[in-house]
Amino acid sequence: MTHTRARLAVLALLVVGAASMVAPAQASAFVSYYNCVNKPNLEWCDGRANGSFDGLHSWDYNSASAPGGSYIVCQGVYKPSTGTWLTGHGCGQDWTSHVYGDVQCTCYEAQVAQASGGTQSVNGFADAAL
Amino acid sequence: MRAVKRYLPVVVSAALLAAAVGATADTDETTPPGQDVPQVTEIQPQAREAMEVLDRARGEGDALPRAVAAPMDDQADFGMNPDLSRLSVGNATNSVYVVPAHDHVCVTLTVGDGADLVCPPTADIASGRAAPATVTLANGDVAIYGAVPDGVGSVEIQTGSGTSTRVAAENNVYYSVVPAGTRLRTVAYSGPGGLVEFPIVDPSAVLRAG
Repeated sequence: MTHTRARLAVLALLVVGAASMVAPAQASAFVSYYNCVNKPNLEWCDGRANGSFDGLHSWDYNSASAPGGSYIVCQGVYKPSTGTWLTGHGCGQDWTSHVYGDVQCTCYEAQVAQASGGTQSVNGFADAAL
Repeated sequence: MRAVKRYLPVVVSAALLAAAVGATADTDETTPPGQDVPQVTEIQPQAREAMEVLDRARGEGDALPRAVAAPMDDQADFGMNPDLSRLSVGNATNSVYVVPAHDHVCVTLTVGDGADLVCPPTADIASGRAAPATVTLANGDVAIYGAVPDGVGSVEIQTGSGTSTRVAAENNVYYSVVPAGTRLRTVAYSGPGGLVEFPIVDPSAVLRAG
């Protein structure tokens, strides 16, 4: 029994040590990189892997960019529970961003879109705690 | 020691799994432009030549509000440095600043406690090819702003069905607000490269499709 406890203690220490090897990458603020591939004109896109939902967060910063092209991109932070946008959703050519300030409510979606008139990809970056 | 040997494969496997998860997250990240650019410590000569506002001494009134300067400093998009900012248009509710960056000059409009930001290449500003930006304000109105080089005194904003409004450029930027629901068309001006015309988009018109 004593040996078992000792082994468990050693195992716990080793697992904690292994986990700490990757902890620094996970300890930073929550960030999300958009990878919205071939999105239709004026259609918001949320998150990674061609628009998979990246969750509700207190987004403080959001940016949109036009990968490899020159066209209008837009960004916005949306509150699905009320159907409203945080003040500051905007559009610009090739790259645009917005500092939303110290957002507290963990209830927003960060979104990007493109407004080229056709189908284009949109990238960007959102940060939930600057 | 025996316990270490016994559980070493488990621990190594756990570490490898954790590393693999991290690697998967990394490969999913498409690095946007402007990240990982060294932050400038002084205004680049090309920017000074293109924009007179950057060639004047910086005063206390040129500083961005701290609430937006700090996060901009953290992000440092395109190597921008808020400590080098200049106030171009001072307004009670919204102000426009230019912020030098690396081969770019950022233009930022304060909106509430935050700020909107675009960073056209310095070469585009110098040649009069920098595009405008639009952003929705707290009351639903839409702000239109952008950068112009020295020598451009005004821009034409086209809205609705042919309505044209001339907006004076001030300290190398222009700024105008149109009521919510206004149909936005273009911003045009004559720069060093001739007449340019850019489409502008009402952010509120972008459908929510998730």
